[in-house]
Amino acid sequence: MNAKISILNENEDDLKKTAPALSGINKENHFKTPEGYFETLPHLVLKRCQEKPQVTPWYSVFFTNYRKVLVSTTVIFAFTISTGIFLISHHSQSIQISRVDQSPLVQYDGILNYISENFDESMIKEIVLSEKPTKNTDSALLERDDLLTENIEFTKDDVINYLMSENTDLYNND
Amino acid sequence: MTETSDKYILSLIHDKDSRNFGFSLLVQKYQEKIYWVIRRMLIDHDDTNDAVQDVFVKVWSNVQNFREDSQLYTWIYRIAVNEALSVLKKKKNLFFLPILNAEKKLLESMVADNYFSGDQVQRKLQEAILKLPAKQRLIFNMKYFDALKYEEIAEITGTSIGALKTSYHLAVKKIENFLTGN
Repeated sequence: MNAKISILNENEDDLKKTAPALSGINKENHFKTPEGYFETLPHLVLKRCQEKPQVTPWYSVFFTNYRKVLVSTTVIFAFTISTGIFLISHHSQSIQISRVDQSPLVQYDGILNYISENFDESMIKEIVLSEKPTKNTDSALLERDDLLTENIEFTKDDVINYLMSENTDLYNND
Repeated sequence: MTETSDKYILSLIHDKDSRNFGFSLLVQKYQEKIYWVIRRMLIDHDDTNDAVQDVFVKVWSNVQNFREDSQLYTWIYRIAVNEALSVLKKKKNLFFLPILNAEKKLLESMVADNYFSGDQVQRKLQEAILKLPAKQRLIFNMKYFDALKYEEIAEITGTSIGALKTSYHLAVKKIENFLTGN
């Protein structure tokens, strides 16, 4: 269908002055519709109006309306979570490394220092090898499972290990 | 088609027994005007067909609440305008199209459209119009093709008459520059 539009004179005069090229173009409508379109349109519209309205799920409406917001939020959330996981795992590794590295050395150094400061080797050997503890002697302290009253970190095993690491022959009665 | 007044149509629609008949008269009366308003914005016939039907479905749903403080045609026109702008916005957002791509898509749609019979000059004019922002294009179409008065356009779009005149004048200038190659 071609529609010819009639324009008021007032508009035409304005247009000729301000836009001579535009005013020289025919305003005929060159868009067309399929044959018989407007004859069937009222029937189609009425049929549609009388159909039961489809219930759009709430999540469909929500997603349609807030698509951009949801996508942006998801991206930011994923980035935050992944960054957090990375930082936490990195921090945990640091803690574990520090614990592994330090605790045995601290204990071992503690044993060495205390033993060397308070006992000579012969006393240690005597106590380790004896079956019964001797009361009221400094060396008797070594018999206790927790070894020392002041410092309960190391046991008799710790002392033996120390002596063995120093290549002391526990069973040599020199 | 029998010419019928808005008052008569509305009286038929408000009556439960004659509602369908009254609504059919309403559609017959305004379908072409509404169709062309939307078609000039959306270019593609199929998109326009969907939008036109959506418009009249909205009219059907809300005509009972129509307060008659404006002309029936103005009210339907306003729904049509909003629908056209909404479809354009959805198309742009759906494919994350920048403005230039959206305009290009519409132009390609027009060139490929079997329902456009214009010559090269007409195509160039449509190309120029498509370069306008959506709302400015709408105002230009309403003034240039539909010959609506500024007062009517103001009522439809909710824009002041001064702003409309400025917008239309700028649109004309842009199109003229495009047509003359400036």
